[in-house]
Amino acid sequence: MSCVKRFFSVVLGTSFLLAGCGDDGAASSDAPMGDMSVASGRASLTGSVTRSAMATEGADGDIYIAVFDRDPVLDMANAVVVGAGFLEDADLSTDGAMVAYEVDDIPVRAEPYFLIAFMDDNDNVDASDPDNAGPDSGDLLSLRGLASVSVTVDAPGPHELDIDLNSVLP
Amino acid sequence: MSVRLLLGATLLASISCSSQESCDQTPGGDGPYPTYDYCSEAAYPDFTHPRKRWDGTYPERCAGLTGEDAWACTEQLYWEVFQFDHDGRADAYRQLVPVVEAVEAAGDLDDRTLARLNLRVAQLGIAAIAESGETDLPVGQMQTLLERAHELDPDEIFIEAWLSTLLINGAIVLGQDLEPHIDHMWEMYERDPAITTPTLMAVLVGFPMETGMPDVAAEMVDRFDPEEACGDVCDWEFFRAEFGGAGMFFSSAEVYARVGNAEGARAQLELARAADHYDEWPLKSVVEDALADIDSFLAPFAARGDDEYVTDLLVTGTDAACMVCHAPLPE
Ligand code: HEC
Repeated sequence: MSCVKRFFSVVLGTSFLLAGCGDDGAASSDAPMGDMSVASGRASLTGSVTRSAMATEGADGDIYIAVFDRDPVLDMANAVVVGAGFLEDADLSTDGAMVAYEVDDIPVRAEPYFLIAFMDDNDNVDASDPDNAGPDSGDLLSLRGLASVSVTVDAPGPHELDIDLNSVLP
Repeated sequence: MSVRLLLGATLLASISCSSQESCDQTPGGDGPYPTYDYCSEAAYPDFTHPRKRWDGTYPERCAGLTGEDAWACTEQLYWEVFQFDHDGRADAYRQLVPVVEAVEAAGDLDDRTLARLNLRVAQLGIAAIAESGETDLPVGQMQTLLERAHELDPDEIFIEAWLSTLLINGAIVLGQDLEPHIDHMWEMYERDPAITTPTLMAVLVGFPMETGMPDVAAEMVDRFDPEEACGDVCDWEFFRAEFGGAGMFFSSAEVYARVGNAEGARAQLELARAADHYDEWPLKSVVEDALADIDSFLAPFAARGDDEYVTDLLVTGTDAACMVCHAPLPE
């Protein structure tokens, strides 16, 4: 996967980094096998996407999901996307709304992965260039505090993870 | 925007009483500092030296060190750049992250000290962001360092309060749900008001008036008695925070100013004026100006109305978030 790393400058005047890659829903076929020592096989992540952050742009837009081999917020230079998902025109504008997602073909491994999802709520991502997709001011995003959500995918088959868009980029 | 991070800044270093008497006294009489052992071979900083914390014992960047040497070296580098070389903070932070990783991998430091090591590196990053404007540093990494520190030493409320403060600041900026954080703050306050007050009041006071938080901060200041709160460390010289008294009073003055209490603010400013080393304090002129015209000290807060944060207006939250207490004495 030719995932171009990009970063976006956000909170606290601080740079967060997201190697934000949407891959039009299909997972990468050539995901790196670097340190996937333990298990073999492919797995998927499924669940719902909800929104708890107060949206400033309507909460109606495309959602990009990316699973990384390490936390992209902490190590921008080396984070690699191992699976990606895309939800076109998701509507999370009403309280309690949710949409289902699935990210397929994630290599199984014992150590946790890190996931970032964002909604292009201000509608300025160039959909024809998903490799360069990344959130900017006004977009909704899923974070664990100031770091990424982690998830373990240590056996083949489906794994559950619900995603909450709990943050708005200032 | 700078972050409001008046953190963990307490008049009370969290002390755990050690059975050894002589080895935990720092030169000069402070101490014991948590997880320092002045009897060991490791070279801890000499805080009585007026200008130097890095003494040349250790390799640059603490490269290749593990165990207690890595911790002592980190302390030397931390306090050197934290107090004397602000431009060097960001680089030092980047150099110390791999040191933490090396020590974690070697597994040759006890949990409490390892917790302190993780804490310290996070503190350096936070100081660099808050005071030195080093906005390229990955603040999420500081979260994970503090989480690790908390995991290793879960009873140390000082660490917990730092983590909480970082998360609250992040939540404010990112529009995340604040409620769980606020509940957690109360829970910490109930456990140990003396240790958490200086941290919590400084966070809460930045909130919009309509949230009620600034009033709560003012109430915490009303209830806080520094004489009582200092506990075991009342007789310290505070080599590591020579302006701790003045800084604490000044921070309290900002809390009162924020809620429009001119007399309360004036009283705290007078206390700051009477604090140790006031004449050498970098913020002396700010206090003098505020006392000369207390209304101007209060006015910027009032101008923000009821629904805005004032985090960025607080002197103790921005340029001088740490140095308000930790600036070195002039030579
Ligand atoms: C209101 C005053 C005040 C402010 C503001 C303050 N501190 Fe402190 N800090 C203190 C005092 C007092 C101590 C205890 C001194 C000691 O342990 O030697 C302390 C202790 C520390 C310690 C040693 C703790 C340990 O593990 O032993 C560090 C590191 C530290 N502060 C970093 C910071 C940083 C970074 C900031 C800014 C982001 C900051 N402080 C802001 C007053 C303050």
